[in-house]
Amino acid sequence: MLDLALAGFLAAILALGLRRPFIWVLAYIYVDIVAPQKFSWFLLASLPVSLIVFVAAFGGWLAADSKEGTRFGFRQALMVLLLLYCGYTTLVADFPEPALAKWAWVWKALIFAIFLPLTLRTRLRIEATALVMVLSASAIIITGGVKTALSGGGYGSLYFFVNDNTGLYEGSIISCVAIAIIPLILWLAKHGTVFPGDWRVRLFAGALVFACLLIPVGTQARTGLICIAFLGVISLRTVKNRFMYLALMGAAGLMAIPFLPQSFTARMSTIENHQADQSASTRVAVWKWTWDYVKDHPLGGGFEAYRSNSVRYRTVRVIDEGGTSRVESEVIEEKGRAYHSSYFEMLGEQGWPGMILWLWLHASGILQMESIRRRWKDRQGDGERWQAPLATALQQAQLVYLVGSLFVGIAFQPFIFMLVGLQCALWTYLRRIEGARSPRLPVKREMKPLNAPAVG
Amino acid sequence: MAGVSRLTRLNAPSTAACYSRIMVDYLALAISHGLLALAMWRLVQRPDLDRDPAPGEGADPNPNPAPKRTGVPASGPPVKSARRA
Repeated sequence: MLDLALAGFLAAILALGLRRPFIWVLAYIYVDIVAPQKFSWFLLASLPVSLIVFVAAFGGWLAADSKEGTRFGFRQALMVLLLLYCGYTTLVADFPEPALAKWAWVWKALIFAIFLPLTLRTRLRIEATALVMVLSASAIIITGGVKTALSGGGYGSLYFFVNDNTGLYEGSIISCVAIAIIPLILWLAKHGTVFPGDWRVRLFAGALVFACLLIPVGTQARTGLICIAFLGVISLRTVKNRFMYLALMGAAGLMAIPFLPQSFTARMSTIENHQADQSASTRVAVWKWTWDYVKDHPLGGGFEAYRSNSVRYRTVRVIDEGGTSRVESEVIEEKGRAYHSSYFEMLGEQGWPGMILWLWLHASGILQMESIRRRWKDRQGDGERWQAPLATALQQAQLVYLVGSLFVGIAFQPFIFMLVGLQCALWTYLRRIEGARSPRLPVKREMKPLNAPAVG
Repeated sequence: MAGVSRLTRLNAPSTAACYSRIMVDYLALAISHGLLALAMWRLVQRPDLDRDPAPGEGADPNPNPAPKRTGVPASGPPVKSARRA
């Protein structure tokens, strides 16, 4: 039954693409995020669904879509360079077979992110992409949020449709992504035209934001809590009434504490006391190993280079025993531990060239969104009020991701590359309409003599 | 119900808990996929999906216009508050 429903849904949106081929681009986004073939039993599981929709999206654009206004931006060129460099490191990787396995999905994510801005030629297409990304992620977020509200979740035990630890189905990744998309949800609720912002849209958006905030509670991923705190801080820049915002945030935080599961508060307390926590100590040890590794291998070791690591570290724990404290330490040795940080993942796997390209890609995104925000924030004309808030939302989403990825290895997460593609599209689209719309008036300057009396 | 048996097998330790989780999974899939289908249906009806409307053509895409700064309506006599101001 579920199989038929999912297959029917996919067939229906592919059929809609016959009328408007851009729908196939949206279908690819849906398939890449939700991956319905993962929880399908026979129909979709037996088909190369991802390949089919990618061929449809690319072929539809190539054969039937207008190329008017299509531009290739600077950040797309950066992604092409990153793709080529990753291809090179895969050829000379320390572990060729695992490297090829990761390359198999990384190149798709990069190619799609390079391709996506070429298709986003209109305002509605940009909105539709943001909407489909949010609604697709909402499938996972709603189930996680409701299960957390009903049962409290647990570290590694909150399942979303399937017991799968890849893509957005991994606890730390969905925690980071769920918080990152909150600004996009709010933008869609306020400026969306596919679902104009009436009470139903606002109700759904509010419930979805709440479910997003519950995901870090349910997965008990510490990254999520850090992302929530960071988003709370950077939102101060754009909220209208900062005092009211701070008061509400404080009150909501205090009211939420009694409802949080004890296992969640116990796990979050290890953020402060990382020396006693094996997971946190492993990360620090792997990061040290990566730093030493890249000194010897400045061009990186290719995907999955962490497999050669062997780390030794000491955990220190203070135990209270009837009024006296006892310090207990333990030496732990582990091999082949993952990076647990996107920055060290890039550094270890792609070396300094890859790291520089990746940082450049993200830093330029933040700067471009800031530039759009400044250029458009004071415009109040018809159709000129959605641009600055969207740039702000995309910038906040990216900043949350960059903070979350300090502790999770998601440097090549396809969802984030779609977000980058959306930023590229917004940038090139606005450059184009700015050029077409506003013939710049010459600035009038009045020349005053140097010794003129001051006015007023 | 092949889908149910697969979700049951993967997700749940006990029958009661497993069925409540399956219901939640179905609820989430129904809401998200229903909204996705509706969104795509609405998108294919919109001419501005493939071409932005020219200036002055069609409605303002922003459904939340900023409030007018004057109390003077586009046509008709000025309203009381505007007269007072």
